[in-house]
Amino acid sequence: MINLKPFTKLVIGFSPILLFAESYLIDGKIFDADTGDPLSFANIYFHQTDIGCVSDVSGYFKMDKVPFQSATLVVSVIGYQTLKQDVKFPIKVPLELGLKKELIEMSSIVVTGTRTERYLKDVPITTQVIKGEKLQRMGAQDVSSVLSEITGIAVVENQFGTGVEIGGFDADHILVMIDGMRMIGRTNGQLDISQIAVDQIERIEIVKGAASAIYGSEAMGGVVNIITKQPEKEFTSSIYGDIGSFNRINGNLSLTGGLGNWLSKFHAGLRMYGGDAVNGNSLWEDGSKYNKVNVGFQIDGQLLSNLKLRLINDSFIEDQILNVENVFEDIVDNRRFLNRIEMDLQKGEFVFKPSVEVSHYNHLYEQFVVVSGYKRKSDRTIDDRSHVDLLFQSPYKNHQLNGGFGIVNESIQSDRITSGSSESNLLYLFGQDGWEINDKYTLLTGIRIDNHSQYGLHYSPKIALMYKPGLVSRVRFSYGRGFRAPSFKELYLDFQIIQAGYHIFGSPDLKPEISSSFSLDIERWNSGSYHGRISFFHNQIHNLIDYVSAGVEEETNLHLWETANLKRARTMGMDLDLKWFITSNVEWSVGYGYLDSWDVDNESPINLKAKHKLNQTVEIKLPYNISWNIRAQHIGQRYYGEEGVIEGEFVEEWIDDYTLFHTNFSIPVMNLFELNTGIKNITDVYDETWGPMPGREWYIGIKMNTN
Amino acid sequence: MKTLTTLLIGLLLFMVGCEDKKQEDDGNGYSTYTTINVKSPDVAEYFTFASNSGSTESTSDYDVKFYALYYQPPGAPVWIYDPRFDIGENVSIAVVDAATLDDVVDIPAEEEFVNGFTTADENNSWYYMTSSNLVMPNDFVYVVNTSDGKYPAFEIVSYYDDIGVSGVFVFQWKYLNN
Repeated sequence: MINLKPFTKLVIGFSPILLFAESYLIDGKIFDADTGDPLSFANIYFHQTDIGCVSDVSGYFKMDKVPFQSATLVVSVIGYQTLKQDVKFPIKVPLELGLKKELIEMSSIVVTGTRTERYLKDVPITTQVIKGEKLQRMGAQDVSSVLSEITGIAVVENQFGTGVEIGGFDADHILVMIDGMRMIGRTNGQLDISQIAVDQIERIEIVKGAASAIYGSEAMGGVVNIITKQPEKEFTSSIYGDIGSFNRINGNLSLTGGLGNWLSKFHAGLRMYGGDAVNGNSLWEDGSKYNKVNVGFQIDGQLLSNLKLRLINDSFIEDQILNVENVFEDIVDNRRFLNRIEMDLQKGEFVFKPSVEVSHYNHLYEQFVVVSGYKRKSDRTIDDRSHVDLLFQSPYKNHQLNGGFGIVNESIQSDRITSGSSESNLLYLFGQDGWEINDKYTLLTGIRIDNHSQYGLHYSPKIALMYKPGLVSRVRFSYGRGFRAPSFKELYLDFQIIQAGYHIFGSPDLKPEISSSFSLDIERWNSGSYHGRISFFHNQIHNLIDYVSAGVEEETNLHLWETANLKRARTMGMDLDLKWFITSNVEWSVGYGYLDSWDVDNESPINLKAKHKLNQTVEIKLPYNISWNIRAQHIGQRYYGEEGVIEGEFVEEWIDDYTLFHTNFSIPVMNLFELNTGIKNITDVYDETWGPMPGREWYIGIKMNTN
Repeated sequence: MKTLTTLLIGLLLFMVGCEDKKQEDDGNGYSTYTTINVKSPDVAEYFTFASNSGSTESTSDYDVKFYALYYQPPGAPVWIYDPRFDIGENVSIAVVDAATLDDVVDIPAEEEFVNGFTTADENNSWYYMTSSNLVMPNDFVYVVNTSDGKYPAFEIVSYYDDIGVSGVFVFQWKYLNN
């Protein structure tokens, strides 16, 4: 047999010379296939070679001395589907290459899971993202209505507002942030997320499971980080308004623009609800009238080539009136102010981000007697918080290191706590290492140490491992230890409800609640057609704070209740999400959440947690760019049990399941306006005691954008 | 001294009893009556429709007795008030369910009237407790056959006074035509 190996080596060795014997020129333009806008910084290269270039600001590219007669040209831009095109030389006219947007946006940047900017597909901590445009297409007026349709998330409403629950954790175990800043203003442990209007939102990032290793207390059950739209250099304005059932009126104005190295944005929002038509007697937030006003601004400045400065102000004012059985009228006045200065200093690849944040929350509750107007109750809570935070991040070989430390001072004045006021200080330190072991594995380890003036030292470690079986699939495992510090009210509450015969006390010796959380998440997608994810989670919670009977007070004969670290609980379950672009105009998504929650001490399910939750959405793009969706949401039965009047008696019931249907149309008009209309809760399902409320609602709104 | 103290307490109770009572025409042609606060041990108001007035002095000649029982439910760690009313020995009563005073025009059939009615019987409870711990009247109208052969109908509208304190029965009433 003839040995051809030496000959082959010879040919390969001389091949560059042979190829360079003839070379060609290729040029052209890269643009968005839908809008025609040029795409700058597109990567253009020949498949399986290192010959390539980058498009300029006009989307134009040019390569000469191309040593092939035919090859496959690859064009990739973040956020767009990669284009592959076979080309044959010589090419006589410039190429016109239109790219389609990724239907599944796995290349978008997220920040919440690691406190560093990472691509969604590369972050080892499972993060769900809801885009701002999607919120508007859902006809959502506030964040709460959006989150209620996300798998594994429950939105609860009561007289303290609307809160979010994740993986069976109550609302006071979930950290809610706006642009990475903790929202202030928890009433009775719960934060009213319905305060946030949607028109300002760029995206919402959700991290399920313990995130205390980065964010400390409150993030025990997960984090919801609402990222608002950032200022732009060009002057743009956006005006949005809608009206709807129950005298709903929403309005929003936002302006952005820049001058020199400075960028700014301003926004103002108004949300009104005349909910008395629902049921004036209902305790639900939606059963009461409210007016909510939100005003804020942000200024970003590039002081030096490597130094950025950002100033943020956000103010929120809410008046809420609740008619209680036509006997009393409860009036709530909430005011929230937040100011923040942050800097971003870069030296090479080292980034240093110091920030100072000052927030103030003023909550006034008054109760009047309807027949006489007599003011029967009045109590005020003032919460002031100052936070200094120093963050750094730096790569080291194949490690991405980040960490920081900070100081938080918080004071509260309230008519409902012993001595009327209290103050606390917190010092914290955290560090995290994202180690890209190889192409397949990334390991994230971190720890946070909190030293609190009330509950002392606390450690929260976490570890996460991400495995990449291929370019479009991920397996993520994580373990985290979470904790939640007792609130001021749980520590120092002193409150009587004489009508019900109760006197409730806080306990200053409470310890933090502690959780151990495991999660396993498997994800696979194709940027042009589908995305699927299945997540399993298990949370074990100790030292849960609850109210326990402490006998009868001799002087008043009232039943005494006090807070204690008594309960243990366990939650485990699964979230399944599937999204499929049946055609480029039809999107179908389905989500199923299974939650098994268990109160270990009472040997019963945890109150008001639905075991099954199912969401389904069909979204269709119609001619003239009209977008239509129809959504279904099923909430399974919920358990409720409580101690009866008689000692030892336990009253239990299962609350009926229900299904809601919603629909929305978005209709562009003359490239300037967008009409948005729809019906929420089409079949008019409502329950005044357990929700949902308030029944069927229609709305119609219009948005105007100018550039 | 003891006699003087007794007199002063008696006078005080009399004044309290008188001052808390309110009678008015509410504009619908109905009379509105507000009892004293019955949430004190051993206090009751004995009401008579004929005079549209009540008394805190114990008597057997009354139409409706309003009071609140203060008791400790078996096994419960706390004492509670249970607001109640009973009818007098010489009257009978019929309960019209799911109605307002406007709805009730005709006298119920004779067989619907009962003697010895008391809301202490849990089947006859006149109120329910809301999730916000308020005592709210059920939608009942009570038609009373009094000893003088008349048929006043009454509807309890509230258990709270002008400053939101619980313990007073506020009711509207009217006579039905024979």
